Amino acid sequence: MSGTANESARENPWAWQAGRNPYRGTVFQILDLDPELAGRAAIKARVRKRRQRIARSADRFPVHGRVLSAAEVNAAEETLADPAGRLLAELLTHRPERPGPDPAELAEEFAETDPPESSGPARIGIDRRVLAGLVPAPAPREFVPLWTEEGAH
Amino acid sequence: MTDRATLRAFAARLRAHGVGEDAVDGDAYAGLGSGGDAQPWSARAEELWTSGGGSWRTHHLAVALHARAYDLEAAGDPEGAFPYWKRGLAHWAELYHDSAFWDRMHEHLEAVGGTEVPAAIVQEVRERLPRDLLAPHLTLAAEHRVPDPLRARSHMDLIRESGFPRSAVLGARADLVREVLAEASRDVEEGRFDEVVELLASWLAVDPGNLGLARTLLYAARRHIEIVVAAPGWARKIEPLVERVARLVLPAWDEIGTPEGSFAVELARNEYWRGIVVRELESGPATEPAALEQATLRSGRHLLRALELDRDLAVKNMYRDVEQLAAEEWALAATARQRQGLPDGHVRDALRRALAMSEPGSWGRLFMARVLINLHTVRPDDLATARRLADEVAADPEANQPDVVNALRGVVLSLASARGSEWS
Repeated sequence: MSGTANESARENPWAWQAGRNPYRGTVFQILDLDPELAGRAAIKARVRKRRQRIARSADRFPVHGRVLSAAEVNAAEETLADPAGRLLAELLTHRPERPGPDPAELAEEFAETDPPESSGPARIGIDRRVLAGLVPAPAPREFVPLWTEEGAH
Repeated sequence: MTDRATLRAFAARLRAHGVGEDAVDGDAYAGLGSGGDAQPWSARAEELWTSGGGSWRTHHLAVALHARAYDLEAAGDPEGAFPYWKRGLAHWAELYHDSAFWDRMHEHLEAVGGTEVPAAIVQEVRERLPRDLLAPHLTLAAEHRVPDPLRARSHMDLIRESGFPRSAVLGARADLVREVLAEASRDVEEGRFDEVVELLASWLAVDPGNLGLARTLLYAARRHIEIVVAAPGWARKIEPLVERVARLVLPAWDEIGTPEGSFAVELARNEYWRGIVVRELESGPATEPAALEQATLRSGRHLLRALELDRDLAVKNMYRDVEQLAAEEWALAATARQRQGLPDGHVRDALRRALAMSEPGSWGRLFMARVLINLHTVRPDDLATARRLADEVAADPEANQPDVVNALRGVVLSLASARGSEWS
């Protein structure tokens, strides 16, 4: 058999154990921990709180209907502290996804925004010289003189 | 008052909502529930993630489909579970091959832990993933082998078609039978031959192409045969066994293509026994030429295949006469063709194989010489070959039995009267 003693020693979470589903009752669920929670101190605090709750009234915090023991919480914490154990736990857990925006809320939010105030240039420069080129040429036409000046030539 | 940046961000949110990625992931995830009772799958989440989703979509699908497979299998619905196992494993195999996924996991581990995580740790989990994920199918295959071999076999199909590297698949198939093979070896040593054949046959029903099982079955059958053949009536006793074993190991032979090593050596021996069983049971002086031709062709082919599979077969004590037997069978086939009045081309075709044997024995030589002399059109080199064969028989100190000498005399007489003869 290949694999080191260390590898063999580690339990395979996917192993078939009388129908136990490896994706239920994960380490994160046992510890009631958001996989995104960052920082050792924050995680430790969270686990401490969980341990106290389980110690006081485990039956109030079941995981998939199962009442947890303090030993399970400790084991889960240990698993999580080991990077390989943590990685396996991550593989067994859906990555948390933020809920998408509700279209009605989006519309509401948009309605509440003020339209931006227009701040155009201070002075609009118009070149009126172009008007000169636009003046129509006089139309050539013949007309009856209104009067004649006799002896004009 | 709203500035441009705010409006742009708002537009991006609207666009994302339109494309649906955020909405798909968010809706699907929200549908799984939260806290201690969050579910790994739901029909709605499965539907949403099958249609779309963001960068973690493959992982979401792997988890959801695989989790559902566990539930269905545990609920006693193997037909329902099968497509979920298959799709779940396919997504896991996709993730296994996707280095970017492992890089992101690695970054995430470092971000939440606030410390550096050695790449080797991530790599080790990644490398072990195929074995871990295939393991439940080994357990289930073993569990259902006796009561429901088809169900057991479907788990081995899942392993073979999982999409994981060939080495992982072969490793899992070897893991399946490790203990069985050890048990089989013990049974053989203790002479429980019938039990071991049944045991291995039942495992081959689960993984028909398993090389370890096929090799061990050949070994066990051969060890049995080597004992049985010492007693009278051996051919009829071993015939069903050698044919059954040949059928059972065929898928492994097909899968491997060109057998090597001990598999080839054991296959060669089984082919040898198949050949001589046919010879023993079907060839005789009273056999009609057409039936004799068919029987000798079958045994001749088995013996030739035995020699192809193991060039050193004749070196092994019990099998040392393989070349002689092959020469006799092909020479007999040529004789049978000749007796049916078939054209020289057909006769020569069979004879060619007999002549290729380096140790044809006295009878093989005499039959070949006889066939050469009896050809419709005898060429000078045919006669030369016949003379050489007769010479070899005459020179063989072991060929002094009366019937060999008589047969030789007949050949010599024919040669003496043949055209262009200068042989005496």
